[in-house]
Amino acid sequence: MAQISVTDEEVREWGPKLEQIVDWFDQLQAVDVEGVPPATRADLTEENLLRPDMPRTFDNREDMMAEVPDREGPFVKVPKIS
Amino acid sequence: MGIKDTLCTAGLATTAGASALRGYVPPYDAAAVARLRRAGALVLGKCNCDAFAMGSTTEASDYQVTRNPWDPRCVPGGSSGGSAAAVAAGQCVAALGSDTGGSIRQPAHFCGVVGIKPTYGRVSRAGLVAYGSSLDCVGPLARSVEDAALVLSAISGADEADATSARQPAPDFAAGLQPVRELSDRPLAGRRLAVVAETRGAGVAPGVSGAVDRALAHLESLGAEVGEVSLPTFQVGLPAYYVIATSEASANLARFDGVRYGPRHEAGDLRAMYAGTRHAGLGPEVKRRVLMGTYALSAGYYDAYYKRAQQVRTLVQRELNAALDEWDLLLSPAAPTTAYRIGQVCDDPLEMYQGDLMTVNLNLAGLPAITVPCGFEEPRDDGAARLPVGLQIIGRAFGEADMIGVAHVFEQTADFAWGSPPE
Repeated sequence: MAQISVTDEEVREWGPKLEQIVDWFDQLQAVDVEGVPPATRADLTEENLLRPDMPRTFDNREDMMAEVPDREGPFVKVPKIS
Repeated sequence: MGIKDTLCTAGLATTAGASALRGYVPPYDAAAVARLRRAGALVLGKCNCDAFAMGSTTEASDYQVTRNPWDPRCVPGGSSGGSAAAVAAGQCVAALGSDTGGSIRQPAHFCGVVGIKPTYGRVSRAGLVAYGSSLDCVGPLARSVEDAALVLSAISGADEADATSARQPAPDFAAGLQPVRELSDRPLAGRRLAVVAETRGAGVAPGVSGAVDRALAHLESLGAEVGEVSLPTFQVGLPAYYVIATSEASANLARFDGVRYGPRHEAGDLRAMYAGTRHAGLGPEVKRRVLMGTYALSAGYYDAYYKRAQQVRTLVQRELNAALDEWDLLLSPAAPTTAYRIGQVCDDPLEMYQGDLMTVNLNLAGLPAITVPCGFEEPRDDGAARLPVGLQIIGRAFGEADMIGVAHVFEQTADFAWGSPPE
């Protein structure tokens, strides 16, 4: 799911460190959260900051497309899914 | 001005300290950078940082190690270590950094400069390479509170490009800062400040406690009432932070796949391209955090980790806000120790995470905080340099002006805290 490949050496080296950290996360299990709503963020303002539903054209397309590793005209090119 | 490399600068390479963005040149400025330019600032260059802002020492940069100007054997802190070091060394007047779990405040403390984490939403995150979107804040580092306040004023304000940006109008944070000669001899009379009890005692290095105790005495001599408040959720905020931050990071870093920007690993099929690109582009600390975050969000574990961490987050917020109903400002050291030696903690992630204890809860709660230099830890051994200590002052939501005012009075009168790194 993370789309990250790890080498055998990385598994050996990181395994214990990751286990240690996940065990440390288990401190959270001891907290009484009965009836406590989860906070998705700080929620400091009453409202969402909405903007007018109007499209805007980005005016620097060429510089943006110049960063694409492989392109064909206006298309971004990637290898096929096998 | 120096700009942390997690902030986009049009036409100037922006790597976020990561191999995954090696050579990437953004076609636009981050909102904070654009506002600085409109205010007349010159961008001198980009400042080094831990890759994708994940780290507390800047050692996790995929490019280079940054040394602390006070002692080159030491780290400058992280993740905005390059920004803090550049300001401390006089390479720029001020710099922008970003703070997700302390990444402005802790390097400011390690490098003896001022650093401000504003209220979440005060400064637009548009153009900031995202790490933890509910936690990230852009803020200034400078050599004086007034300079930091000037920069904060320039970059603050609502932005249509950031849906989490706050509508609150930003006052001029540098207005009303009195020169020291105009201050009465008890300029903080009537101010009620409280130290967080959980930030004193055994877990804090004596050199840091000593300097902070001296700072508290100084605040009292200026007329402030300095009490103490206990926040029982303080410790548990740390694992809650790391669950939330790594979870959000796992989503935010999914975009680094070699499709539209950054170095691409050539391969015959798409999945091999993703895997190879990310294997080469993401360093070990970044990979570990993405893996942990993916795990915490996965079916079967979401309730036990992510949802539970969000519930703990609610408790942390309630406790901090209750304390700030009773007191004007809260105080703590900015970190439990002074600057580590290079190599001291980078191989022990959990030990490194513990160093964030003093700072993460403010990101969970979205509250503003400032680090102001408050003294020094005397040298640990012969020939070693003295290392700076910073005091963290915590304000109410959107209460930066008050927090900055007290920090300014402290700074201007605390001559025991003044000093510059050795040449």
